[in-house]
Amino acid sequence: MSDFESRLEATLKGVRDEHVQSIASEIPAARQQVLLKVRRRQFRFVVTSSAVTAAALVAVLLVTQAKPIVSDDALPPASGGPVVIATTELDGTPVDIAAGFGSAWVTSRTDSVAILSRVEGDGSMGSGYAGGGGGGDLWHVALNDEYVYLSEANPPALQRIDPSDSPGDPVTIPVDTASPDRIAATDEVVVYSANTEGGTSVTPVDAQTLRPVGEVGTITEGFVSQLAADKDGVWAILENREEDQLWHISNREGVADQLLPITLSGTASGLAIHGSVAWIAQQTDSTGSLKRVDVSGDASGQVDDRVGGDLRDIASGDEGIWLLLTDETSNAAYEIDPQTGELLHRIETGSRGDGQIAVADGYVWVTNVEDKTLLQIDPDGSPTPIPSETPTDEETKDASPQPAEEADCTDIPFASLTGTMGLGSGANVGESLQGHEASNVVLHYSLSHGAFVDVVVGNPDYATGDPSEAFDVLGSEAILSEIKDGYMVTFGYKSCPFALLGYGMARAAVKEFAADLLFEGDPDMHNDAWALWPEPDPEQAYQTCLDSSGSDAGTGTELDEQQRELQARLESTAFVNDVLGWPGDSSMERDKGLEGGYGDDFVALIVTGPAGNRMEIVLRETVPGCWSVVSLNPADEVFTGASLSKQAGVLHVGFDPDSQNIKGDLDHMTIETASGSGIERRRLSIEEFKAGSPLTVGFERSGPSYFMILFQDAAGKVLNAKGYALPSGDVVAG
Amino acid sequence: MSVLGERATLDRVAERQRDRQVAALFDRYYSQLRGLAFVMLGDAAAAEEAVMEAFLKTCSGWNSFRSLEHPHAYLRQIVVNQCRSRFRRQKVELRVNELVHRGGRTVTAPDHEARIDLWDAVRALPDRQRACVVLRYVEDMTEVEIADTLDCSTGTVKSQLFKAKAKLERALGEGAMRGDSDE
Repeated sequence: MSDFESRLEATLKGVRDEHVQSIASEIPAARQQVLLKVRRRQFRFVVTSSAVTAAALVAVLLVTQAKPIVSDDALPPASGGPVVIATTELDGTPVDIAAGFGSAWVTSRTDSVAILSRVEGDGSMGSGYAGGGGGGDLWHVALNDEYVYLSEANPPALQRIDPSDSPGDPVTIPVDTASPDRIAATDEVVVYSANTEGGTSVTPVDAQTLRPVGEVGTITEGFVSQLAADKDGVWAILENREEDQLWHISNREGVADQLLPITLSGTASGLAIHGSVAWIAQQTDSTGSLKRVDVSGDASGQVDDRVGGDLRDIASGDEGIWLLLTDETSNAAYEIDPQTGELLHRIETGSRGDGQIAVADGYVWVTNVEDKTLLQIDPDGSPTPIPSETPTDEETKDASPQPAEEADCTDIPFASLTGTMGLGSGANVGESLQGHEASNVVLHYSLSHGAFVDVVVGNPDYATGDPSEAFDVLGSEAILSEIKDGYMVTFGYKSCPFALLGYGMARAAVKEFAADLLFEGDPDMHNDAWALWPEPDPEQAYQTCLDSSGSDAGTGTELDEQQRELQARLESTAFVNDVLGWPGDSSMERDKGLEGGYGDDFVALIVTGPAGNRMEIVLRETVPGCWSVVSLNPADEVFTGASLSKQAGVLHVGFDPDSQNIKGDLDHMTIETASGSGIERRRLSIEEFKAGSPLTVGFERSGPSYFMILFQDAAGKVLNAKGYALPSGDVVAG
Repeated sequence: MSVLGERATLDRVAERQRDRQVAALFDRYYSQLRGLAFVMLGDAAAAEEAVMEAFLKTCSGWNSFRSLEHPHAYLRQIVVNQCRSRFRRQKVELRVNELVHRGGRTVTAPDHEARIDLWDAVRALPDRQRACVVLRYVEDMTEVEIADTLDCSTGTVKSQLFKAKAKLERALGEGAMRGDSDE
């Protein structure tokens, strides 16, 4: 190590050591932060997965129940444009790529092995070739008209593979130089660069025997960054401290017969020879640019075009000249005009990051290091017929994987359901729910961290007439089974966001469930409960309700207002009777003497289910005929000695953690709030907490929200989490 | 206990076990990784974020991570990638330089001026060159190990180190390259 290197090492290590010393006191807090974030990220993952599920469900609905919406993004590409026709997952991180023999040849590596993979033009994966006896480094790959060549660093060797003899045994020739790196091949010579202690060597070998032919020598004042072949030989870019150069190594004698001085901007990230022009992809730290060098004469014809982004690679073939560029958002392949350099086509190729590109045999191939994928692109695209007219209803049904013919979601806008909320945190929550006929269904997932995901599946039309029959919400059974922590399911009744049933229940009949419902307590205590479906404009909500429920199953038969109101009321009554097994009717006033009761204003019940589960449901008829869940304390959320009350902008919650099987030294808890969908959360504060004491939290948000309590021990370790819905806007408004 | 109840209990046990392992991993490697990130980025907050993100990424793939033979190498690779992408995205060096020009250097001892100059010069290197230099001279890694970490060939590492040293030489003057101790 030189003096300079020693000084460099001492300097950098000194900086590091000082910094490490300065952060020693931060480490415990940082550790805690990491643990918390790990849990939150897990939670987000679940939420995201569920949200994707929701999106998929909504997409199914759009397909099955509405006329297809064709966005610009969904339009098929114009005939003649590039199209990704296949994506292949690679076995490791791609290192290099070459195209030929109707295939892409990709070297990749994992932690333990280097692999050459052949991906056929039809998208099938050909045989893989493990390199280096399982532990070797297989780096670059090159092709000529007969063979595939590989450079292997450890042990240093060249390999030659006959593509017609798949998988066959490669011919391996050890080389004297250390670490063969880049490689290029013509029909007569193969040229490879290698890194030695003394610099970089460039060695031509016979394409058949892999024995050295001629000698270019070792470059001590620079290195070879790129190699590319034309029919007469191999071009090499030599990057030097003083002067960059473009060399041509002749087929005939294996010596450099041409040397052109060039001035690179940054480092060459790719080299392609197209006719008499060398195209060099250059990359500075921030900007990519393209250099065109006329190799038929001197280097006076150099032209630089700034392309922006990170220019990863360039390749040429009969399919034209293609660039691989990373811009702000993604990787993309660009075809450029060989004459002018003008961009002709662009196609996205995956997430941002390193990658390489190759063209041959009618395809463009792109690797993506981030995704570990290989994309096969048809540069000319395949003419795709653009639908000339909207599919018929019959065609739409045919496209549906579910019984779309029973579905009808045209009578209520989904947007009106997006504010659907619930409360509870899932633990040991059972599966499924029995339903009643309804126009819309909202699957409301309650996760163990106290947050929620609402899935509007809408209008399953599972009007079986037999509430004991399990319903299948547009095939959502599979999705339900993927929710690990349990869920609640709410569904709208006759187009009105209405009721909630089922929490911690096994798949059992609604009537059986309802038979177990017991009413406890004084309904008056729930006067201060809140609506889970807050409607900012009751009149509008009412109208929406009437507009939807007043129509005759979407046939457009309008009833007069009185009829609609009566119908809505009857339906509400029928629901209460049939589903909840409620012993009253719609005209019945609140009756404290009954086990259950409901009135025009609200319905309240507390459920005691099997295994001691306990549920409290409060329903309110927010507008005539439209019932909403007002509050709910699901099974594992029992407040022993709990109190809920509200004043303007303040919610008081009292609970006893001992009753919730929360063990440990509860010295701290973290309060979090969420608004809207529950995905975006906002931490309020970390408060001292004493078991059994009430907690007071103030709110600023006027919209529906949740709050979540994380129970932590003195070390900050989260022992449990509980989530509840916050009062909606009317509470905040006082 | 129901099947779901058993599952939830097992999940909680697994979560606690993972927490303990993450904490142990953290205690063992956090400082070292913070130092590495700081040397690369020159920004304590950015370094903290990069290392934090590395741990989070690690834990998001916990099942596969815990079977790794060399967890430190894996974490270090993520940190380096974080630093490089952070550098590219946010132009941390600009902020750092601004801080330096405002007198906000993190290391302020007067007798460290020459050292700061050298460190500044390292941080002015392109991200890959900088990564190669830091891994070589801070982490004492070989060219092969650096290539593994950066997912590139040893030839690339060699060339990047070569270029980096040339740039540092130009930035600091010939005297530095010769090892003159004039400070």
